[in-house]
Amino acid sequence: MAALGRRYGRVVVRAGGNPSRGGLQTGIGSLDALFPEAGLPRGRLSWIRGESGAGNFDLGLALLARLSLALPVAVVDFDHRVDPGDVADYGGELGHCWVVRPRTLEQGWAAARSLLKAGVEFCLLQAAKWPPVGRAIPALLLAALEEGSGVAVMGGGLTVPLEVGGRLSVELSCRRVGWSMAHGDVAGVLIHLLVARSRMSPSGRGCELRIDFPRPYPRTAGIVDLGMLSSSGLSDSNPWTTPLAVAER
Amino acid sequence: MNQQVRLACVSFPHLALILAWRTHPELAAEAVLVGSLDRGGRGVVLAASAAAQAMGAHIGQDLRQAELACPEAVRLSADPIRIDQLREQLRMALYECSPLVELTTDSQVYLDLGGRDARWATEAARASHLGRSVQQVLGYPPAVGIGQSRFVALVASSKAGPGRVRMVPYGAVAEFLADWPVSMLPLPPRTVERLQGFGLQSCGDCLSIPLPDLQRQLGADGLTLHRLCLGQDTALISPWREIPPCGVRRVLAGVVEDSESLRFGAAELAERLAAELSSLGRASGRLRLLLMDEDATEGVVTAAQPGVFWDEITPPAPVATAEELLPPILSLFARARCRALVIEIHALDLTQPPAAQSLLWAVGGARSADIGRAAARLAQRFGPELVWRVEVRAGHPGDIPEERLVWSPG
Repeated sequence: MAALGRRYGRVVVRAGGNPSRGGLQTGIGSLDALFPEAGLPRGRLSWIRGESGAGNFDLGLALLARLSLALPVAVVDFDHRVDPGDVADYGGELGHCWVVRPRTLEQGWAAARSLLKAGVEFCLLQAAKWPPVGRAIPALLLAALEEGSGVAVMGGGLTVPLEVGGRLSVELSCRRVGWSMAHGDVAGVLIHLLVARSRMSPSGRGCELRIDFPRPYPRTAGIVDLGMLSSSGLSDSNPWTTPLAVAER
Repeated sequence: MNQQVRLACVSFPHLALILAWRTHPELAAEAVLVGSLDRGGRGVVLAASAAAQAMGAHIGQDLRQAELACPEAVRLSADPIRIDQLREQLRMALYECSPLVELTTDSQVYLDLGGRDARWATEAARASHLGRSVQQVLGYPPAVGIGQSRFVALVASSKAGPGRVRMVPYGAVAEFLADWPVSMLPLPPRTVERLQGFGLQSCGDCLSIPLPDLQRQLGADGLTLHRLCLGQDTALISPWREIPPCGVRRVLAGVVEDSESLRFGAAELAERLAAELSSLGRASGRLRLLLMDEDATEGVVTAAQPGVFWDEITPPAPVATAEELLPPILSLFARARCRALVIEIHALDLTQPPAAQSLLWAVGGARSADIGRAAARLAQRFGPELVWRVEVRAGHPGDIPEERLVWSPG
């Protein structure tokens, strides 16, 4: 086991199942219900994958904004595409948010590691494509997560390097299923979020969310929970939401 | 211990009490309570005469409780303007004796008497002059104590009594403090109780116990006790320094008549005032709004002047940041009933900013310092343009990120 630890990092081999640290609750019931710990898994690396325009980018920002209200959060913006103003527009507290704009891949991973170790609770690593990284980099990130008990979520891309993929705890697939319209404007996006792969629970569960964009109606910006997806793929209606007109599905 | 340190502690009746006695000399030996309103509008005891204190009243007590404790006490209201004037006179008199003066409270001051002063041949002559100067201003003889530290000077002042000077020479501090009771030491009550339980009643008793034994029994308080008994208080004085006036002024392009338009520019004024306060390292306890139209003459502006709107607001707690300043400024603008060509906002009652303490209550605030240090280490390693803190510019900066956001290295 010592040899395995040296080779693959000390978090590869665990004694007697996965130690639970509880989940980081997002306050979105259906999203939290996708995980056995009723929240984003702490001390672990997760990935929300999706092609361009699938809604995963906005989902990441909206989650960041939501969590920044109560916790220190960080976003590592590998492509320099994130506008922190959007975090504020989604109702986030920029005073609790650190923005990392690395010039190289290594800088970004190192910054994520340091910030998570220092006490950042939620770190969003955002990139449109994930280039290959050295084997040690994800192992070191997991070690930092273990130490700080934060949550690291990779956002974007359709593939991840093998070195990272082997370390993922949960892989969520984000798919756009429609737009929400209001008064002739696109006011938000409807997405399906499915657990494509998980080390903690059976995969296949999903939920339907609506992300209301900050423009043109900033007061309603944020994530709206539309319920869990049943096995047939249709959402269970949530009577507490006030959905805008759905243009397409 | 630095052999050059010589501090003086001057004790006298509270300035509010002295003013009360000036107005009512017949109350000199009576129980007197001088009350004032605290920030929350509650009546509290600002000063209490010795007779009132003997009956249970004390400074800072709720006025109603003090009245119940000594019902026959004469109750007077404090006059803050006259107290300010008297304080200023006292300060000027003290500057004659030393350039470093700390007005700790309105009944106690500390001065740094270190070094030689050519005007007085001996320390005793200087101390006598100090006492006479204070008596001349206040009309009451102060108690002056001089020692190598604040604590020794305070004890010397207490032992001297009104109209006397007590100087404690080097080498005689332990002997001087030997009979000082432990109950009068600045230690936690539980520690004092334990000392008394051990039969240690005075500093001399405590010095007979070796330091390791004191530390073993009392922990960190043991070391503090040992140092106090030797007169080793390393705290120096914080000399009073005049704070420059703080405020912002904005001349508008034309006369504005409605308060709604004025409120539009409030965020910018709040931000500028916050920057001014930040440069001084202060928070404001009171804000004043001045609106002047084209009729207002230049020069000294008064509230009664035509064409001038003058209003003040006292926030519940001192304000320092733009976010804290904005609500009271908006309230002032909402009350404004005047044509305005020039806007001035003055920050008054400047105090130490409470931000550092209030951060402890903020969610994640305590961790922010750790994360900030991690970001600083990253900046050292990879350069300053890696980790950023971002804030939205106050006002209506538009949607373009470059104009809308303020980026600062994390």
